[in-house]
Amino acid sequence: MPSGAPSYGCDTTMEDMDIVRAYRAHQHATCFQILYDRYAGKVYSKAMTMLHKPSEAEDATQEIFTKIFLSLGQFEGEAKFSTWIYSITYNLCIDKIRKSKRSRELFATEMENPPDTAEEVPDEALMSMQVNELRYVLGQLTEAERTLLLMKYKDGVKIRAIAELLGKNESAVKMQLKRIKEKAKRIHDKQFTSVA
Amino acid sequence: MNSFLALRDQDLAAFTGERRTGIRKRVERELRTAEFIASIVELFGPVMADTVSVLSGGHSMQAEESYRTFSESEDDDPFGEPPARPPQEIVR
Repeated sequence: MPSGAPSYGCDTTMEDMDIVRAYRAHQHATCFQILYDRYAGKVYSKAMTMLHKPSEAEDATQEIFTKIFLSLGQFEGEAKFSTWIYSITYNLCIDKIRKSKRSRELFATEMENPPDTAEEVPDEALMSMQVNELRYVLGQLTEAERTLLLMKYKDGVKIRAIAELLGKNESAVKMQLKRIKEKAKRIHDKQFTSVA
Repeated sequence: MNSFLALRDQDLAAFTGERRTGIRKRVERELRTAEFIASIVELFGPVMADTVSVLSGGHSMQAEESYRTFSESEDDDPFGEPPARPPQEIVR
């Protein structure tokens, strides 16, 4: 254990990896509490991105944390602890989606839609919407479209990571995102931009 | 402000109080159950496996303990001398 880290437990100033080591050594409740407090909200938010329903996101958060603490022994620290947690979160949520009837839509490549030639909608156009407007627009999108858009802009997941998670290539994800942004902008303009 | 980040903040704000505590308690309960089951398996697993093995006609996996006899333990000589031989003649 690194110097400065108390051997009997954990405190909130410690790095994630030190807390993980202390938890492995002592199974101290404080270590569990600190890690839970650090990541529970973020895990819940990401589960909401993918599952959309609060009750499903709660169940997923519980399963994710149980899985995390039961497999802490396998975490060697090659990646950041937060990255490890988020990969568990996304994989578990994708498993849940796969088990449900929504899987076909989420993992479809949408080849039936021809590529658009229109100019790409800038990110600012979506980010500058009011929250209630954004909620309305998200409500009009399909589940797959909503999930992709939120993964990219709300959770800040990189295109490559999204492609890996969904089993697609990066260009397919970029093309899909481009179309979704166009659709979102169209929905927004139709509903909120008054035409004289 | 970025509307997506505002949305994320709203999600985070919704995950407080009873909802947060309730999920933590459920996780703790599941972890305790898993720990209990693991300790039961650790304690009784080898014994159960041995019992099944013996019942099905095999040998016990547990090594038979051997104890040194009283005379053997007396033969230990710290100076490396051979043990004293018994007398050749019987004195009557």
